[in-house]
Amino acid sequence: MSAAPTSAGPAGPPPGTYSIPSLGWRILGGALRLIPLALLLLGVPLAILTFLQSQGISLPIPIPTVELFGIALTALIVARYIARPSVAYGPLSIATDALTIVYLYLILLNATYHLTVPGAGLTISVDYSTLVLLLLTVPALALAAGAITLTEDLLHPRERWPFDFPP
Amino acid sequence: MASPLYHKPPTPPGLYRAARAFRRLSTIALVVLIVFVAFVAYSAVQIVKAKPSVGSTSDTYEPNDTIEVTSSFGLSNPTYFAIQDFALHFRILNGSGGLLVDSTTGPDSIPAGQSAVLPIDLYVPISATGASLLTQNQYLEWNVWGNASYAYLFTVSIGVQTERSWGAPFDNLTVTVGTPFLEGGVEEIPVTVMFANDASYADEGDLNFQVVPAAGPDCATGGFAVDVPAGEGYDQTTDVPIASGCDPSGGHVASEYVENGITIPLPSEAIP
Repeated sequence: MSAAPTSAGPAGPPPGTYSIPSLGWRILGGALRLIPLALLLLGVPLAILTFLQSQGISLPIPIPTVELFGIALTALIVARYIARPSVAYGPLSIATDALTIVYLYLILLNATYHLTVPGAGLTISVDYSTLVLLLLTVPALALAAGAITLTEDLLHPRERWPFDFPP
Repeated sequence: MASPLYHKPPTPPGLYRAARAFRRLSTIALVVLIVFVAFVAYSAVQIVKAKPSVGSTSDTYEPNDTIEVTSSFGLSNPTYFAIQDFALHFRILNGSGGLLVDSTTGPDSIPAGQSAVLPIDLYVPISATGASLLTQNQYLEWNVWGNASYAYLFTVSIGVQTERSWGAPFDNLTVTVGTPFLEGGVEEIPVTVMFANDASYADEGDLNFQVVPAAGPDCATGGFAVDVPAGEGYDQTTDVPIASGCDPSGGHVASEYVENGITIPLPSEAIP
């Protein structure tokens, strides 16, 4: 279902070359995205951390940090989806990826996980800082994409509509 | 000639294509990393399943006042990634916390699909900090940890802290001197040696002693040929000639153990 196109303006693409979903549909789409996002960014990490904590195993990252960043990232990703036709898409993309970089940086600061098996005198340490550094390239590339989209929106408003929302 | 029914889709502008390329690269990087990490995790499980092995241990006396403990550590790497900079560190403390051994084996690399056996040679001192190891059973604190890099991304360290019993080869060694007596016109003195061999190897050598007075030259010297299997005791007395007029009271008995040409000094015993 498509909404009537918002005003394309004199510099925008001609009507009929794009079909933007209405705000209602985008909100519904965003709400549907909430489910897997909340599961991936909050449910699974918190379940793992809570299990480790219940077994008396030290946590590689505090639970409140995971909650805070999980909620913030989920909200930003949904907001970015809803705001995709608007000029706010670029800034929201940048904010999402910048927050992801901060999140990964916090993980990087404690990227050596120490596991002590109680009573066995056994200690296992795993340093995964190289992996986190490599993972940082993912939001860095996405941040570059967001910055280019913002530039495009500022220089050529609505130019991307026919490609993001083909009819 | 262009078809009247087919319209070629318009080419996206440059900025749009650039942003799309970065987004795709980001997604590809994420997928590649996730697949790689999953593969590494699976491979790591295969290494654990291959069960690292510890070889048999043997102890031998060495000329530099040490006992050489020899063993080996075998590790199989049936995966597609090399295990790099694999090293084993040993730190052994005696019962009172004195450092006996601080040693490292490796580093070595185990290529993908191959196995490696790291030789372990630990030199446990039996003088100074380790002197009590000859004559006192005790618990030693072993700290063993291994380091390795795996799949270029992870550095793994596994440490074990445990207490292991040490069986002394001359546990509770006592060398006592009796009262001098005359035998065929010659003054002799009885010397008794007692100990238990609680080590994992036999004592097969000569135990020599000197009866040293508080002042002056030695009163007497002698020795025992010992052949004490592991876990057995030793209690022997021998009569040795004593120098004329020598009074061992207030002196001490110095003793040493000689095996395969290696001389090991044993703690001296005071004579009341």
